[in-house]
Amino acid sequence: MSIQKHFNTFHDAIKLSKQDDAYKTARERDDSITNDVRNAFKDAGYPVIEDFIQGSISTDTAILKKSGDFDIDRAIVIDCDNAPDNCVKPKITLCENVLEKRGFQNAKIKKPCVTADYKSENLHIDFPIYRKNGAEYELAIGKRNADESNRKWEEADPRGLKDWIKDKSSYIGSASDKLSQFNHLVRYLKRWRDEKFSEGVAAKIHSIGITVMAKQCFSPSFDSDGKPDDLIALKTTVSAMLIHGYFTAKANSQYQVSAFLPKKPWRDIFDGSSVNTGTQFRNKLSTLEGKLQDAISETDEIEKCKILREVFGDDFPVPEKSNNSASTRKAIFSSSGAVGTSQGA
Amino acid sequence: MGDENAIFKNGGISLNISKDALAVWKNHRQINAKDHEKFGVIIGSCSEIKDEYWVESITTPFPNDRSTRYSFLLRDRNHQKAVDLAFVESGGTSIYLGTWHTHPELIPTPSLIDKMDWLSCIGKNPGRQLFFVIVGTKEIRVFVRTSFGFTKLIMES
Ligand SMILES: [Zn+2]
Repeated sequence: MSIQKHFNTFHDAIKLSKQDDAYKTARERDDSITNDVRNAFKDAGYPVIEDFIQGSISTDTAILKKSGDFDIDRAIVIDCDNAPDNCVKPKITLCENVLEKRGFQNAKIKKPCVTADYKSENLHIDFPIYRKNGAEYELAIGKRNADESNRKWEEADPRGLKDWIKDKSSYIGSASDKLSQFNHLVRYLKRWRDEKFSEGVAAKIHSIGITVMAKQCFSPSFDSDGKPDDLIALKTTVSAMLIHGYFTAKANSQYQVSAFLPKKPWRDIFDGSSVNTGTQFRNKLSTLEGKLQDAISETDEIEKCKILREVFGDDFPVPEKSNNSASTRKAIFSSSGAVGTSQGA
Repeated sequence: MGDENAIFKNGGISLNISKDALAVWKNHRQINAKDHEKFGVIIGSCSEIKDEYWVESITTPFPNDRSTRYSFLLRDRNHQKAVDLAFVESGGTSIYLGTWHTHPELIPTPSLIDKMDWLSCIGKNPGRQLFFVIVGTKEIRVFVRTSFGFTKLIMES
């Protein structure tokens, strides 16, 4: 039996998509707040001209967190002509006139966005605010009390990034299948991160970083019938990630990680990250590569699944040993075995 | 030896050797003083739950292999070809199960070189149960790797 069947089961268990019921509740909350934002921004003199979901939900790479929390990234866009020079102002409007009024105790102005937590519903919403000039977006960067040197409207390309992640024009052959395999791989890697790193370090291995690295290193794999082989694809993609140049060796076998946004503002996604983060990321990725190779080499289906459960956690299925009474049914192997050279005396 | 099937057991594993394979081994025994070592690979299958194994066929030396009375070097690609052919023809059930070779001694015991080579065979086939057969002039012995090192299987009478 093919291992892909088990990857599909695993994928179904971890994926979060727009159609999921759990996500629908979150969306209702989000819609209701966004409506309030529209009203508040109109009163403040900079009406919302568009809003859209960005982040992993919009690129079909979202996963269910083990904690059960949901994240929504809701971009709010105002027109450049109406936007105040002080980019923090609309963030304060959002925080005070919308979120605090609705009773969010923990609404916070962070550097790139305003955040709100629905504690009771495990919902976490990020509101990045952009101003738009023609087709160009600029993101409001700055904390609540940032002075002029610490705040700015910074060039950004949220839609361009989304399109870049979803781009399949470079895939030869069945491009949609390949994009779908890419989405699977990103979800596997994100769950691997949530399994293998402490919460603090996992938070620093940003999802967008994993996504960009996987996109740049993606190596699709399909069998001769055109069926996806996610195990091989993941192994070759991870191998490519390790040698792509994201990890720079430092003294004492330590590593610094960096990966640049492929769109404006082209910044390093891991800017300011420590060598501890880089070293753990690099070493655990290398361990992952080895485990995936072990799983590829392993011929027993159950043993294969056990290796993968060790990597991805309990959502990876391990089938029960078949208790078929016809014990003479023969095992089917994936390869004939390697003879190589042998010697003896 | 060689008149009917033989079954070797160790712990939860049994290896069923066909009488054809036994006959080949009987004919290749190093009985004469000038006989070189004979050797080859074992091809066979196993039950779905991997407790019963069957030796279905074995290969014998090919032109590019080398041997002396006390050593051999198995390197001819025809061994791999035989394995691959059996694999395809069986629909994926017949695979490489290990190696066999002869010793010019009554009751054979593996040399250090034998054991090193077996470890390398296991290394090349991770996750697979392999069997290693030494054909002595009186007895055939089958070895498997266990946590105690290489252990011989006991022949059922
Ligand atoms: Zn020997």
